[in-house]
Amino acid sequence: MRPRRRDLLLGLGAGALGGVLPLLGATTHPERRFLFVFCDGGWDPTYALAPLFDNPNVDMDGGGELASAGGLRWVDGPDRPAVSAFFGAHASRCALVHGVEVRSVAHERCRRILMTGSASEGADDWGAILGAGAATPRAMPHLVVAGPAFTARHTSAVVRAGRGTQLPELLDGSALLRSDLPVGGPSAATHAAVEATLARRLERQAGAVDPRTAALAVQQREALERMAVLESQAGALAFGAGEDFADQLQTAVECLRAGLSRSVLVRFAGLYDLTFDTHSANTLQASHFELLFQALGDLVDTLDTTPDASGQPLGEGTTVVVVSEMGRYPRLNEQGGKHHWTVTSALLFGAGVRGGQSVGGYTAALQPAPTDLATGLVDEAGEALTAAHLGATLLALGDLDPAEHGSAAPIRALLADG
Amino acid sequence: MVILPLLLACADPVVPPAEGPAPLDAPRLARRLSLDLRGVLPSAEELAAVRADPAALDALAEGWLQDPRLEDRVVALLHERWHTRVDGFNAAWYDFGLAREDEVAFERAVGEEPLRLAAALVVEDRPWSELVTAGWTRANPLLLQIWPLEPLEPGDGWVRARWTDDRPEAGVLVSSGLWWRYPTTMFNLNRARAAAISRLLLCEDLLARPVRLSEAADLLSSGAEEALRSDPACLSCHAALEPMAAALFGFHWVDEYAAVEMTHYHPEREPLGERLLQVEPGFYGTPVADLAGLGQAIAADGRFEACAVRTFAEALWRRAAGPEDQPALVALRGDFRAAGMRVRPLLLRIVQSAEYQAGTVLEGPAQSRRLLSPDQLASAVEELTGYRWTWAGVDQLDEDEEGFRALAGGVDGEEVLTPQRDPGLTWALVLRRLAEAAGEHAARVGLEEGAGPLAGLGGLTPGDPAFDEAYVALVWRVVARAPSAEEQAEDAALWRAVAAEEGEQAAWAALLSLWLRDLDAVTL
Repeated sequence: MRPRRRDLLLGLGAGALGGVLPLLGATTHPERRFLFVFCDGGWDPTYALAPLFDNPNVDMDGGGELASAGGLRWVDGPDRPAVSAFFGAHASRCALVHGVEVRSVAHERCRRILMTGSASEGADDWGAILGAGAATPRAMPHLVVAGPAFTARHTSAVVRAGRGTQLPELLDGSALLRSDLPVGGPSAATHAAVEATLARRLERQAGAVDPRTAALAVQQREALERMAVLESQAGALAFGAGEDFADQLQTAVECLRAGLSRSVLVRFAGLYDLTFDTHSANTLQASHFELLFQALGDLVDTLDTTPDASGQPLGEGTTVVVVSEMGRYPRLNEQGGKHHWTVTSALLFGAGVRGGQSVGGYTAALQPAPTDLATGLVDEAGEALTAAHLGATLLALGDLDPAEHGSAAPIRALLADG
Repeated sequence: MVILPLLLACADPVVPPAEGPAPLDAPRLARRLSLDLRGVLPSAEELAAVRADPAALDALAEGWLQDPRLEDRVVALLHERWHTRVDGFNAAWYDFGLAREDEVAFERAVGEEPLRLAAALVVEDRPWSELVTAGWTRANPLLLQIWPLEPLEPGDGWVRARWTDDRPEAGVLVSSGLWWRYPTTMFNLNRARAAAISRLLLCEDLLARPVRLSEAADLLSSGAEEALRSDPACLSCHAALEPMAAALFGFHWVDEYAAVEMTHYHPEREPLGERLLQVEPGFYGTPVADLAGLGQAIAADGRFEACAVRTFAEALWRRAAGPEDQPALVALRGDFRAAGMRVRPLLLRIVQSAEYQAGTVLEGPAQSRRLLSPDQLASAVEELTGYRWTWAGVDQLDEDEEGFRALAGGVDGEEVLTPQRDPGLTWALVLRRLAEAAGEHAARVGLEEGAGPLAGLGGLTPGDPAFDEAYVALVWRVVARAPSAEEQAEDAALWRAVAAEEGEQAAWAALLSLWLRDLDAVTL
């Protein structure tokens, strides 16, 4: 008998499928998970990621120095020791991608382009595509704990956690405690009876002549199934309590650990939530990077010491993508800040990433340097990197065909398994 | 197919296409219309009238377009595009000496101010051009308390009001609510606001154009500000942005987080635009004297008219219009112009379209079913059951800090900018909790107090004629169709099973909650 989708989901919820190799023809690794860390405001890569000391057009931080280890080069500074501590410990696992063009200078638009590779409102972001494309069914395929998410076709694969504790409260029913009119909700038995009846009706409606009706019925039924999986585990899940970055990461790791999500998005807003948008006082970048890399260091430790459902360290199967929506203008302005810039850098580490390297680069005018996608080296015959290249790389890491989602090719130099 | 009569003598009747989507049946179409125009389900009497004579929907729709609840619907629909009903601005409730419990009321009042102005033009049947030329806005008592406004009419709710700080007469272009949502900085110099004007009012999204700085060769040597004025790669957008931005300096705040700066218009700063941007205020090549002139220029631009048509068509079609929709949009635009740019007749033409009335769509861009938005869910459930999910007075389906607006598929205006079109996990979760609460409330009130849709049903069981009659009527109210025999059997079994263990009140609660989650209930 063919297993029903619900059985698969419930099995997953119990951890039964977490360690099973997905049925992917060419892959030899378990299905990879993804954790997106979105750094809000548009960071200045030259404060940590991009050592452009030789570029006369760039105003580098005066206290910064070139640092290197394990094939990686970065910017060290006395006011952000966590950066060097992180790269010093994990350089071999990290790849820096430089010269990624987003072709806008407006925050909202840059977020969309960075996360989808396109300015179109009809595009899904990488997390949604990866979640929807998971070979193993997940209760929350792409979990948006916080941060910008863009969905069009894969709406049902994307789950928003809410800004506080909304998701766990909805799951355990305590959300109804926050009602001015007193209500308590049904008993478990009544709830089960209602759910069963509703599921039967949706099953019938899934056979409707109208394709839209049929699709909605299928999606609603799948949502009920996912709900049941989550409810069965809700008591054992340690969701973070709020919007704090550590809370966000806790929720993310918990959902990856439990096999509930393939992809999770969190948002880092920097010191006092000031974000990286330093039109004045660009030195604040140091504080933001310090906090970010402290958290990333803790995250690596957590991923390395937390077993997934198959007993393997979570870090072995998780790719971490650290991005910001734009870069910053090369020169300091009269307020000691830097304006927006259309080119930026990204940090990748973890599963499937060929670490210990920087790929791509910047021209003297801080434009994307043409890059050979196979070697990652700057090459006049290469391509200017865009967010679409970055996304195609992530899809390849996720064993999806990038050609089905756009015209950009993956940066093969970043793929550990070619 | 129901053909609604026309409000416009000059407009031609809409003839349904020979081919294309099959329309909804009259009761379901009545339900769609009622929810879209009033936010509530059709009454039993209205449904009965439509069942007896589908042509009765014509008069009903005319009446619903006059319904005062249309204002709230327009506010909700426009928010999905304007994104002003957000949960936070640069100034907060405490800046105005308000109490903590007024926080959400404060945020909603600010965010709705431009939307209420727009909605008033619809319900008062005034020309849409007043959106950018009106010498008044709309304000509620909270705004009248904190902003430089004086009421122009009596009332306890949203009333017409006049700015008292010498801002020009330019409708939403002088809306504090709009510019609080779209702030600028001392570096941005109102360019973001100019881009917002272009996107919201002209449907020209300048930010969608790719910025190719690799083509702006002199950027680093000349500096960014000079490049914006001289480099062709920058000018492709900034030639339009800069003159509009130059007209907005009455809203230029010295401190973008200072409530006193944000609250008042600053007429003495108007000349700063030309000085800082080194360009005269203007609109696509036409100089304007001030914001009032900008408003008049916008109102005269054909894109403003076309954008209004697109905005409302997409809002009611519940999808983005594509190239294949151009003929329909062009036709609607012609009618809109002929009607003196009044939106209410436009709404009528939109809901008359085959697009809108689609019930079965085998191919093509039309969409048959649309999910109810959170505001529709909240108002429809409240009208039906008496239950509104509020906490400390805050609508939980209309807030995101602790509530569930975005999780229920709504737009938070910050990170979620388009409504959810398809069911998802948190949508299903919110729906479940809302339905459970509403069912429980209605059952208690109905059986204990004899009020609401379940009034007088105590002591009845499936099979009793009175039970069956009430049950069928309830289903009709919720989904505008009769339950199938299979559904009736399932429901009777569910009712009996629950009643046997927990009593009839729980059974009715379960039954109602089930129907509130039915696909026919949560879509229109």
